[in-house]
Amino acid sequence: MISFKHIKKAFGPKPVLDDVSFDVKRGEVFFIIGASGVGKSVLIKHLIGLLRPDGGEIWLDGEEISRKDELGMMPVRKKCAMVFQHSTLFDSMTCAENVALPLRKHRGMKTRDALIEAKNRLEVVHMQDFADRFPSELGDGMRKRVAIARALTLDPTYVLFDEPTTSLDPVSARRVDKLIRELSDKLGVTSIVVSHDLASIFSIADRIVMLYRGKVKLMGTPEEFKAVDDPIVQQFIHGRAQGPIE
Amino acid sequence: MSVQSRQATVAHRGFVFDLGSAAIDLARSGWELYSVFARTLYFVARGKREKGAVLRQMYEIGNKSAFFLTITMGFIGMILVYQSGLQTKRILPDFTLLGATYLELLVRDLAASIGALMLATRVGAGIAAEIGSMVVTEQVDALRMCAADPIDFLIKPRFIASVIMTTVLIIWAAAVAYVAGGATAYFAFDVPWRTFLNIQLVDHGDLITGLTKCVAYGAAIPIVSGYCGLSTFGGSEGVGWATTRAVVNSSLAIIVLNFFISAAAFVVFPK
Amino acid sequence: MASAERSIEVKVGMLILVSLAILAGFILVMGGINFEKKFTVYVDFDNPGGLQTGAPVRIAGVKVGSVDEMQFRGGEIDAQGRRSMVRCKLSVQEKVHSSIREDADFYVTTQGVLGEQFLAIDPGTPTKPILDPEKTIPHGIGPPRIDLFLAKAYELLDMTVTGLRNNQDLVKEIIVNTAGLLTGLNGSVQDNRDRINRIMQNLEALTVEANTLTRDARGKYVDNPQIDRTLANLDKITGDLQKDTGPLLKDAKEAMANLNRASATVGDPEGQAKLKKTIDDVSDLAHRADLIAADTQEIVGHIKKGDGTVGALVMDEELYDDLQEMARDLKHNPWKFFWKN
Repeated sequence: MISFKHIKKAFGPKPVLDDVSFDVKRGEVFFIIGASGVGKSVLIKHLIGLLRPDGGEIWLDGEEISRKDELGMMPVRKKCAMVFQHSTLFDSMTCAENVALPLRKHRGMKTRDALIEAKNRLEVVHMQDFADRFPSELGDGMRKRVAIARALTLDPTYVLFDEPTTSLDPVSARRVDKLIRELSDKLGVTSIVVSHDLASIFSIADRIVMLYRGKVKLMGTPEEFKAVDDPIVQQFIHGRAQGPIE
Repeated sequence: MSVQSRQATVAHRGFVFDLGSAAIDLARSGWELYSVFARTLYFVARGKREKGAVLRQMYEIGNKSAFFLTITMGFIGMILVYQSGLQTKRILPDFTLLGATYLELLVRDLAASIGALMLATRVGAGIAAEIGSMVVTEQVDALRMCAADPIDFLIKPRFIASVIMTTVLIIWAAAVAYVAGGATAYFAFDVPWRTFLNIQLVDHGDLITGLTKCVAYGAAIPIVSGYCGLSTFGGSEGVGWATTRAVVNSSLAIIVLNFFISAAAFVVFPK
Repeated sequence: MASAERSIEVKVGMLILVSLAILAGFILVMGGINFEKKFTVYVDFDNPGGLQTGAPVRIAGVKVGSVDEMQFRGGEIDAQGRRSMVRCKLSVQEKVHSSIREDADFYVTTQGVLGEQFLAIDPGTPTKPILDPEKTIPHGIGPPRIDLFLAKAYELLDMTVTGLRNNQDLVKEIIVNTAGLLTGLNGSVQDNRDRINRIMQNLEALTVEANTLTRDARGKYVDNPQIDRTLANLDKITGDLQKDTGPLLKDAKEAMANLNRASATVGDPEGQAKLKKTIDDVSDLAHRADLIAADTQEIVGHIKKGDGTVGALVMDEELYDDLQEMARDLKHNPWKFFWKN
């Protein structure tokens, strides 16, 4: 279980997150939505220690993790993996080497063994044929699948997705949605998805939180979102150009 | 707070505030740079070995800069000897010690400093650009997620490679500059090779000073450039900025180190 | 990928090897005559000047070794009873050992006009036995201290010029007095020539009385304690002068000796000629001072012996005063010897 309590974060004089609090339950698919630049990516980066909050606490499985140093974050990163927005594979390594890296570094596996295991992992996302290719040779959708394989390498309990469908064609996007849902249903993985893809939101989300101007605007199920009377929420979930959101 | 007093505060904030915040920034950068250096050394001793990484970097830093360095040092050698020859001719047309003083100067200072400044432009820019673009594409974040410390993974191999290859390249560059200088002396001032080839004025103190400089500069370039790369922000424009900062700061670091090492050498090996 | 990896290894390896070879070669050449057999010679110096450790040791311009060590001993006396300020340890090629003899000179000199200082060995006479470094520690000759020489020369020059300038009138007076004295003496002799002749004739005629007379006169004038005192004073004065000028001349001579050595190594022929002339001049002055002192001594000697009874007779108080004045002057201002009209 993950708990954000009164998180504050500012870059320079501008506050990005201003008293954000919510919980994520075990095994659910949890969406964080909001306009671009509202601080969604910033929020989830706190979970793996890439950023530290200016104020507030973050609780993961009963531990407060926001003040841990790099060494202390290692066990957290084994439990909680992230798929970055631009796939973020390492350009200088092949796909197999990319997937093998966490095995070598977190588990201390030997390179040869790690590469074999990596190829197995790539099979899960149907990318085993591209194991020895470089990321620059692949298309966006394929890169995303390799990135997901890399995130799943250590069998994490939580997986964070930063805008997983944003740059994908509709078919690949639906495939990714399906994968995320399966992770939750079949493996009990808790997925936290940052997205503004309405199709994704209303097809696979268990619960949603919407951020607006650094604060939580609304939290609830997709049905609750559709039913609420707030003009800002309504403008967002219907994708209207006109409205109170500037 | 009244309008006038608020205005006064803002105006007051102007110069002193800028000066103070600049000083604090400088101090913070200095501290972070030192921390990068310390952590690099720690990982050199205790870090995880990445197969082939150091070798690949040695190729990138060493072999790929060799041609460029040869050309520049060759020309610089010619210029140096030609200019000092002209001066000598004016004061006391005695070229017997031209080769000897030139060699001493090369070994003690110039080969290392000028060679390193040349290398800083190429190697420093390369390292900062590589690491900077990794930062803006979140690859460095991904590294941290995969439990690969960016300094261990990125900077350490470049550090080891740079220290070794800078020394190697500068020795080669010194030889090139000396030969080029000798050729210039022969063709411009009719100084015979036997006279120019004079090791008399170089003592072991000079050699040790020169080699120390090579090692120091070889260490400084990847640390400073790597730090500039790691502190990139702001997309591709940020990468451009980082590259520029890397070259400028590497060059500065080389010149400052030159001063301190020369001063120390003057005390330890008095002339 | 393996072949690419291999080719990278090869290229990197080659670059490193080439550089290491250059470095190794350089160090070897810097070491220089490392592979020859060497023997050690110690040389003591009072002041080796700017000689550094590592400076070359040359015989007739050819490098045969280097200065290994320079140890400051500050006048300590060692086991064999030798006293030295600085003891230099030289490392010299064994093959030239046989040419260095017992009376070899070890001196410090400069290469060119502005070059570094090195140690030169003058092998010495071939008939003398070979130098045994175990037994003998030769005393080296320091580099010409041009600075010291210049300081002394300057001091001398300064004293002379100041003295002359300050005592212009006195000098004039002495000249006038001396001229007057000589004229007076001459005049006296001239005026009294007939008289002297007559006295001589009388004396010849009256030898016995004359002898008695002169004996009495002698007793009265020559053995006079006053005159004795005057003579004694004169003696003392010239003796002092001799004593004062003695060391001055000795210094000048010593300076000249070093100058000679210096002028031998100074290359410039014009400068050498000038230096030679200066040396000649100083030598001249010294010689002249010597003569003056000798003459004065002689004169006093004569008067004492009783020669020139004329002198004894003619000598009166005024003359005595003048002489004493001149002698006192010269004693206090010895540089007046060197003044040339």
